[in-house]
Amino acid sequence: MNALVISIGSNVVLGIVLLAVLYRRRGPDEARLADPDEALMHYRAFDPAARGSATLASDGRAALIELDGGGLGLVERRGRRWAARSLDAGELVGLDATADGAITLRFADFGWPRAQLRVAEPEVRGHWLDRLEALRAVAGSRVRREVHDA
Amino acid sequence: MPDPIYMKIALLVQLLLLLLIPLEAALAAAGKIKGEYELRDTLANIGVSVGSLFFWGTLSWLYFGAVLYAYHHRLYHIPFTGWSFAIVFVLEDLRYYWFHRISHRSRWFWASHVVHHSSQHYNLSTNLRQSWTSQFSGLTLLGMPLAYLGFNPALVAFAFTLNLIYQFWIHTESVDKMPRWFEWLLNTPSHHRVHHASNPRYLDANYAGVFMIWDRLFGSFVAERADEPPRYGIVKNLGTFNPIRIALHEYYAIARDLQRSDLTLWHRIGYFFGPPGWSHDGSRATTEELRAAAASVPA
Repeated sequence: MNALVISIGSNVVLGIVLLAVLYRRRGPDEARLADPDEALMHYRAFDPAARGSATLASDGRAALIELDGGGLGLVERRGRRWAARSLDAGELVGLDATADGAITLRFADFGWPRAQLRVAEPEVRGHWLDRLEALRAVAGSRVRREVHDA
Repeated sequence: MPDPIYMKIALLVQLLLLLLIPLEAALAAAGKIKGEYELRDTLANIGVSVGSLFFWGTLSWLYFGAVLYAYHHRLYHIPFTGWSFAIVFVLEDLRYYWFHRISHRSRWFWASHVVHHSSQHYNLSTNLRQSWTSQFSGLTLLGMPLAYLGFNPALVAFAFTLNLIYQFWIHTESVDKMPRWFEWLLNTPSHHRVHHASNPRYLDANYAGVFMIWDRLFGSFVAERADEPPRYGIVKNLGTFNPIRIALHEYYAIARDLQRSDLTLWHRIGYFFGPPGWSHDGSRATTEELRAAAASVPA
């Protein structure tokens, strides 16, 4: 019993020390996608043979990928790492677009439930909303598009 | 009743090892050693470890029950000696190798083990990110043969504990390479970095717990290359730091696949027990297919 109490207590103390160290040492994450090539490079970590074009989000922290074969993909900054995924018809279950250019994607994916990015240029945003809505048509998902100014 | 001595030793070792986590974080943050911690990632690791300890504590009777049942029907009586411990340590490591290899090569077992690989960081706190479901995935049955042979379950459990304790220190970027003989014989941070990498060249390699000889013997050894740094995580990384989602996401994905109405029985078995990335229509890629795709891309 003593061992159990000491074990739990010391784990809690060590956990607090660790988190305090990390909290004090944390700095801003300055990483931004420099160009579409960099976005594609990150996407190839998920799909090594991928070829296509990328549209960067306004803040450079996400990108939408149009693959040469017609598929779509996403690269997004998650914490201090880049993560990539394909945008498949069956998984996109929600799409919200707001007037300020923000696009929120909701997935039927327990490990990646949502993604958010901002595409400022109305023409580019409209193109992407069309592509994403086409996925919705397959998935029968909910779409709320407040502004479509393409 | 006083705590038994082995409990005190285990507690001391655990404390010393856990002390290394904030130490590594502090030294890495100060630039003294190679490594990177991220607050949300480490918080997720701690959250997952709480769940893992809870389920281990409440369900470990499944493992011990199976092992004790096997021991009750044992073939031989193997005495508790230094030699029997040495033999059981090596055999337990062999068991770990196959447990680990199956955990990577069959999706049902991968759904349990993927938790440990889901961080895109690699540091000592990665040790905390452990499965919640290992007790009922079925692979704990691999613990039965040694007890059935006649090795005392306490001896087997002790060997397994030592195996896991050994694996603690290899989850780090702060150690580059050990001496050549050490790298040949034993699992090291370099070998295990490869195991945690998602670069196609490094996928499904280096399953060893302690002795690297199993990977060399069974053809799964891949050396870390200076010109290809490991990219940690899984092929399709997670978009969440939520411990519950981290622990259960692959089960959800399996359930979604099985819900499809256009699958045959064999397709369903494939989605359940086939290798991760298997699909009935070829729309996803297994490790072998990812490797082939990467090889086809000009440098």
